[in-house]
Amino acid sequence: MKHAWKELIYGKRKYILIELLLILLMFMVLFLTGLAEGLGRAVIAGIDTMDAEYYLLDDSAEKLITVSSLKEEVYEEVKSMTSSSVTTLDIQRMYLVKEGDTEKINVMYFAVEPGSFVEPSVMEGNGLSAQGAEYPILLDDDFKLKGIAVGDTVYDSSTDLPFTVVGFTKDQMYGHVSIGFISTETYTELRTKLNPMYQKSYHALVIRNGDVDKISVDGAALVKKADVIKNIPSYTAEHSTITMIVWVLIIISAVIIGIFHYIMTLQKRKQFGVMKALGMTNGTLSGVVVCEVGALSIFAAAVSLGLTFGMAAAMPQTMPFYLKMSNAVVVLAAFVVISIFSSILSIVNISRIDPIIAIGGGEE
Amino acid sequence: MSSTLLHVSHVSKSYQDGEGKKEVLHDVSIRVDAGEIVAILGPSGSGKSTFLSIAGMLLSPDEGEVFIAGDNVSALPKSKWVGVRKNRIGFIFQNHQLLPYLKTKDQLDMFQSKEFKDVVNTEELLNELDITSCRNKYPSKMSGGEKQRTAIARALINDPDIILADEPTASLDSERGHKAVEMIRSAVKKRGKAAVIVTHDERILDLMDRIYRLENGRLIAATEKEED
Repeated sequence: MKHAWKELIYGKRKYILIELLLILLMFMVLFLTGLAEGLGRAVIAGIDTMDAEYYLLDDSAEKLITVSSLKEEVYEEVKSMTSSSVTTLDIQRMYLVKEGDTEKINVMYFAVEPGSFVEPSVMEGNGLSAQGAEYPILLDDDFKLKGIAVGDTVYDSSTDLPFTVVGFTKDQMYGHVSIGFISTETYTELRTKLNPMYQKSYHALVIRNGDVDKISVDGAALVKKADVIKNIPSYTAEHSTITMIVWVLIIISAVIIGIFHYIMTLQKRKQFGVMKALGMTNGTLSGVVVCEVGALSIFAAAVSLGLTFGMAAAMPQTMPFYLKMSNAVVVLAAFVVISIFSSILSIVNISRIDPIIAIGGGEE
Repeated sequence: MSSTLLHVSHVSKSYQDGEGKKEVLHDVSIRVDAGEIVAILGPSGSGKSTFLSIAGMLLSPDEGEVFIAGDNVSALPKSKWVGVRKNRIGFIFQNHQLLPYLKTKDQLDMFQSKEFKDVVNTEELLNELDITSCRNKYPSKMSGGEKQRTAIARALINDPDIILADEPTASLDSERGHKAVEMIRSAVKKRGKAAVIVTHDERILDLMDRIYRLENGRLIAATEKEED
């Protein structure tokens, strides 16, 4: 509205300060949202980015991939039941050691069939199907920060199995540990070295597309991807705590903004009284306030969005920052809506102003 | 031949004052005809503000009625008052009370009702009040006289039946104050409006058609100016 705009322009010095405050508050909330998401990603990314719909896990596994165990035959059995794409997955946490080094580096092995749909896209180098390497490993790019490059040899710390780094992928973590993708074949060898009695089995079968309802295996159940994620140890608890913190911050910040506008309304009581005496209705005046609050918060939302993504681009890779545009928009929209909602406080105050204060010297 | 635009009829108003009641207005009646400008004088606390508030549809009287151009506006529900104020009453306040963030042109446009856009030409009004040069100025860049004349223009923007002015010369020196009231007078005469000016400024009384005094809540007619 014209009126609101003219007031904002005239009082630019005052409103720029308020705008700054708004931008900082929104930036803080967005940034924390990104960090919270990033922290969550460190737990679930390996599964979340997987192009899968269902996981077949054994009944006793409580929806946890790492404790599930399926016999080798089950894989063939399931493949014959359905037209869906089916592949295998094993997850094992171990340590890697660089050649000529003794420092142990945490790694989460994801054992997959080379070329299957659960093998992630490669950012640098080649995938697991690469020729020439006896034990290929495809690492998350976090390992680059440890000084590992394509072509290097790294050793499994307990078996001394020498892996050849064939490539890097990105955003692959599970349970706060960066993932190294290896082939199922390599994994079987690794397990056999650890325990000569090892009987080949799979942690889970990963299923995508097609007629999943035809799959029925005794002692095993299909679990949706979202359910698997929810049941990753500590994820739900961590995630809900952090989400709660973010939302409390959003609400508190928005209420602070509401109080700010309320104080400004109080300062302008006489002005509002005069406007009412001159025949402006409560509706018109409320419209002015809502327009001002709306304009200020929408502008701040846009600026803080740019600021956040700019900051994210400049941040070191080790920072667990992850923010989807859609999430950012939801957070900012909530912010704007709550701000406008909290301006109701000001509107109630304005509607109570008696225009009679315009007459006489009265309060200034 | 003139018609009565403002008729305040037997209005009384009292306030709770500690234990007892204080009667601010006692059986006050006044008629102001088209083209007339009248002053109401009185010391502070004499009920001038209360009178203006009742005549200006900001306060309801305990007893009595207010007619604007023959309509009994005091009988209207409170929700209609704001409309009466907007379209039938022109207020001029003490200390101009312009909105600091609007330029002169906007001060007028912002308060003009749509239906009066064709009736009252803003540019002509600015010209008539000799404030065309202030068209694009904020109040903070204008002199006291210019501000008050802008306030007068604002009061005229919806072609109201009556003009109510509350100490319009309070913040002006005597020359500028006199000029401002002259302008109210000529605007009223030209348009055939009725104006009531509440003041204690004796220097502008030569511009009045009639003068009243408010004393102890009673309105007493003082010297009536001779028509020549």
